[in-house]
Amino acid sequence: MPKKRVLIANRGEIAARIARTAHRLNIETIGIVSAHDPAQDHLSSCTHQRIIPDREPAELFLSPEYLAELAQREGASLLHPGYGFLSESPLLAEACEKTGTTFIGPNPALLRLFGDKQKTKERAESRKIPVLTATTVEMETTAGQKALHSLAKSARFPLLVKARAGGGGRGMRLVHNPTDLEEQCASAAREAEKFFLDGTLLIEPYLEKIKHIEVQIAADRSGDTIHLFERECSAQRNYQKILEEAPANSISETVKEALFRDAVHLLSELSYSGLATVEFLVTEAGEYFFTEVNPRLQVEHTVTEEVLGIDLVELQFHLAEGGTLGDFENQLGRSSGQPLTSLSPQGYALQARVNAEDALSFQPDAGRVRDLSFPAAEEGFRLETGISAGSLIVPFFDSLLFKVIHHGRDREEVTQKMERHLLQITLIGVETNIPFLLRMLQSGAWCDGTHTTQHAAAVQRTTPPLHKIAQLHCCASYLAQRSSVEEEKKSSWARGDRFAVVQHESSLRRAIIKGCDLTFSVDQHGPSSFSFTFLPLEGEESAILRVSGLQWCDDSVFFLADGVGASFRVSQVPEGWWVLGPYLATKTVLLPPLLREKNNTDSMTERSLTSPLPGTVIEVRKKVGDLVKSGDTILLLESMKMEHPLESKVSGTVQSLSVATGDTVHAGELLAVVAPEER
Amino acid sequence: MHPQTPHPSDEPSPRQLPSYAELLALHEELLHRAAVAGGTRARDRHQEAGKLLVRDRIQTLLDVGSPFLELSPFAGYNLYEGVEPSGGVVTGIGRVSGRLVMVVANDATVKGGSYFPITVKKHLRAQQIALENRLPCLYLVDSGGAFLPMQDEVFPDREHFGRIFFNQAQLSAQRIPQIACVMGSCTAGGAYVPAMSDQVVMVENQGTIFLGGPPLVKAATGEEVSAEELGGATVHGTVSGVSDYTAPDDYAALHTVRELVSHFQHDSERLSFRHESIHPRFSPELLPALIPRERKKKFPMRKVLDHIVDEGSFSEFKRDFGNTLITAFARIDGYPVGVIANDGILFSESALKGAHFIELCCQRDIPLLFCQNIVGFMVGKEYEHGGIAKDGAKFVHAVANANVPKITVIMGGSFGAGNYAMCGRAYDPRFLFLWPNAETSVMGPEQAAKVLTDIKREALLRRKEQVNEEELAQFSEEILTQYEDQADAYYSSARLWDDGVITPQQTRRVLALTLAVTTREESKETRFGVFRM
Repeated sequence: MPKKRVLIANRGEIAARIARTAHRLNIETIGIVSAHDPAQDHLSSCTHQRIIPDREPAELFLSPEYLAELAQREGASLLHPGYGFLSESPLLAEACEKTGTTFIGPNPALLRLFGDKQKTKERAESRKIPVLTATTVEMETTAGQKALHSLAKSARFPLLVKARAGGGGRGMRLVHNPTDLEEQCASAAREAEKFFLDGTLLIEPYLEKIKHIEVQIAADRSGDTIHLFERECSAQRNYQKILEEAPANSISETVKEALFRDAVHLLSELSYSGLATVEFLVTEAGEYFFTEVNPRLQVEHTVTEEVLGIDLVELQFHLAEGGTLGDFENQLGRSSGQPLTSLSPQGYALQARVNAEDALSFQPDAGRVRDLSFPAAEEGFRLETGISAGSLIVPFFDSLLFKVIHHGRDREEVTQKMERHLLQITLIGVETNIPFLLRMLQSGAWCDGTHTTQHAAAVQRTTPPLHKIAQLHCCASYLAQRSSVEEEKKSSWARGDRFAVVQHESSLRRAIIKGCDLTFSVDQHGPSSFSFTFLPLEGEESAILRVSGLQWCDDSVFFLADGVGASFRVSQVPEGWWVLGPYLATKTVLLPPLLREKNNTDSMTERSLTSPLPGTVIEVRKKVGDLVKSGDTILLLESMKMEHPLESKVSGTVQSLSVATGDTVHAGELLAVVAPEER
Repeated sequence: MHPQTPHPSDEPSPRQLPSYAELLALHEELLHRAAVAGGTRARDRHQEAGKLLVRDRIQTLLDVGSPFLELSPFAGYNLYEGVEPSGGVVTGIGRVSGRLVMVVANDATVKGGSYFPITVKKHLRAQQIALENRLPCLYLVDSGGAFLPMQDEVFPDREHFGRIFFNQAQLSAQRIPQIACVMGSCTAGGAYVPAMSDQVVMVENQGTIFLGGPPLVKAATGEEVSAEELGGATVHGTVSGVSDYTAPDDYAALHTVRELVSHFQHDSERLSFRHESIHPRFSPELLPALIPRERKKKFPMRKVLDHIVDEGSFSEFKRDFGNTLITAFARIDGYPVGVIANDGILFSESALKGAHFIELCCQRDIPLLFCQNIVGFMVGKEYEHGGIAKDGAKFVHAVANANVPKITVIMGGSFGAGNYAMCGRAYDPRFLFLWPNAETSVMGPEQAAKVLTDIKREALLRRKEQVNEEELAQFSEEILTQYEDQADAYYSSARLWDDGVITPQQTRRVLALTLAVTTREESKETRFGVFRM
């Protein structure tokens, strides 16, 4: 009997992660990749690989019909959509039904329901689950305009505007002032229209100081529905989760029990089967509100797996094929053989999402991963990655590069371990949010667990201006450059201390960091103390940064910049240095400073026209005093039976012409001079 | 009157040397003058023409972080009107593309980079160091050629302008690369620096090479031609072939030179030669406080060495014999060295011990470091009868013939035959440096004043003329002043009797760098001549 096969309709880390479990369950995997997607690392984790012949990025790669047919053609009885767009697509679920492929996820009707957040809320509300009352607004309609006006008049601000169809922060706006409402809604609607082909908006009261808590649900076809405890995902930037944890230590057991009860209740009423996540907002006072159901595997499923010791993908396969919760035999070590209902969270797990993005603005970054290495394996450390050194990161797809997970005794220990893991990652060539993750982990509110969904924004507000950060990177790069000469420590000449009998005024240097073009000079005052003088940028004053207490530890340099300590990891790249600093991980391009422009640019070689070959002048097109443009033909020369036009290299006036038609000329003879126009 | 009987007016008043802080302040001031030679206006004009200043050129050329062992920055000090220290050319050793090189860079802000007599001497000295230590030569040329008003002192003699090109040919023949980077004028004789080089880089619209410049051409033939047309980078790169590489500006040109150097055979130091570097027992920063302010005060040489050599590496040879001369095996920044240092006047035993120690170092190929603070050899009947002349000669003989690298630092006085025995300039040390307090002359200023005054008095007495003690005292004072002025470290360095004045604090670092330069190859075998027994 041929082996069972699953088509993994996803890419990156999640495709590799699903393949791992499938292989353990003795299921063959078919990995796919769009012909436009250069990141194909996940394919190597799969038994079979298929390139999707896309003419445009993700044309067929995201096409439900194509994928369902592909599964059928390849003999895959199962299709796992991972997380993201396809996992929530009722069309894909339907297409699979048609081809007889088992779609790992709920039925199309439930996917449609959960895709409509307003309807889902109504269902929840009807079952006495607290929700935030939201107003649905279609901007184009008069009803929509009316609703906006009444909201502007009477609603409690701030209001949160979101796309009904969307997720991931797209089309979301926070509106503080009634006067801004209409404009913000219009912009949100345009974005929603663009991304989700549906400009309908939901507008609801915005709660401050809230935590994002979600409940993991598992349900089988027999109607048995259980919860697998909660996760906290309050650390979000631009409404996207970046740090996810389990359990949620900051929520009382009473609230948790209420969340579990409501989540189970909602999904069992809907005869849901498979895995799902029910998301809630919880206020400081313990009030809570249902927000949405994610009918799929979550990016952050790993932390639940870690604290419970189970494999959720395995459970997905089990339930999709008609298995029940009761007969699920967990095969993983710690919880091996235990029934699902007897599991309880052990210790604490944390996941950090490493994205290809600017760590200050969160704008996606793209490029070639020049170098990549991860911390050595250790107890509790888990990595889910879909990239490797050499991968090309393109902007068409999700910016998630990999996830770092750590499971340990308690939150404090795991936070420390996570910081260390993130610091030990070498990733050169593409900017990542690692510096921001570290800032989050080191922040007070994170450490005491009081962080809310607003915390990331608060951390971001403490970011110094870019040019100040650039100055620090500039110092680190310069110091790295100096010390790089030390590789050959065995010679007195290799010390890199720029020892000189005559110390001359330091000359200027130049560095470019994220578009900040810095010209600076360095003065050394001692073996580990320097001052960096930055020439004024436009609208800024010149700045002096005193660097002291310089210390090297392998490829990390620590120094005090005007008394404030900071550590930088540096790696040499062809243009300069890749620097991982406290705010950014980015490239420093080191250049010599610009020379002052030469006074004498109208060189004779530019002005004069000489004959390239011996020959005869057959036509003179210009005369002395004529205005010519650069590229204009002054005269024609015939040589070796070929015509050679002689063109002016500059724009200006013909100053002299030493030949006439019919003249014979030697090679290299000066024929004409053009006086360049004044610049 | 017996000449040796002291006379009240004979004894020159005991003088106090300036404090070390004062010496260092003067040193700093002169270094600053060397660094900004040419003056603000000339420097501004130079930069406005899109050219880098000479020291910026060197810094751009060198590897980032590379030390630069600049040679004789005080050359020309107080020698000519309008020429600041450094003499219009900057020379020194640094690392380019990982290789040690000799840089000779004209400073066009000083009289257009013209060659004064001292400029020629400095250029030749750099070539000599390059030859002795097999250092590739990089010439950053920006010079109007010989300083014509002083043609008799720069043109005709053996060690004059022509010798520069002779050396280039000889160095090239020794497979020591010669690279010229033409960043300004190379007129007349100057044209031969690139022409005699192995490879030439030129900066467009800036570097020119011609035997006769446009004014001379006009005078000679009436032809009117611009400098660029006559001998610019394009002409020499595309027509004459005088140049091999063309660069749009200084940076690009220097980068090209770095690239050329990166294709040289790898030059490695004999790293097996070096031991682990250990800090000296005391910081070199503390050295100035040890140096006495009066010539007659004891100079604590052993203590001084404790601030320079690696801690625990100092192993003295024959400590209890001839102990006015310290001979010791030691290491500086890990480099083995045989130290010969004065701790008093030279006697027969100390001279013999010195000769013995030099033989040891030559047998084992250990470089020699001479630390001078010497008044001279002992005089008197007992010593002459003991044959101090032939014993001193043995020491001088050994020094002269020793083929291991020799480096000399004059830390205090360097008088008379002591200067010779302790490897003065005439004995071809690979490098010779002075401390700011150093004094070099045939004898000490006080002794000179006394001897010359005595001779004058004798002559007067012989001719039965009246002895005017006041006049004699004035004469004595004049001699004293003359000797003190001429013994001055900067007087010496201005005339290139040495390779530069360095501070006591810099000494360890400078010695380490020079040891690294001089020990890259095994020394030739030493053959001594006849030691008079």
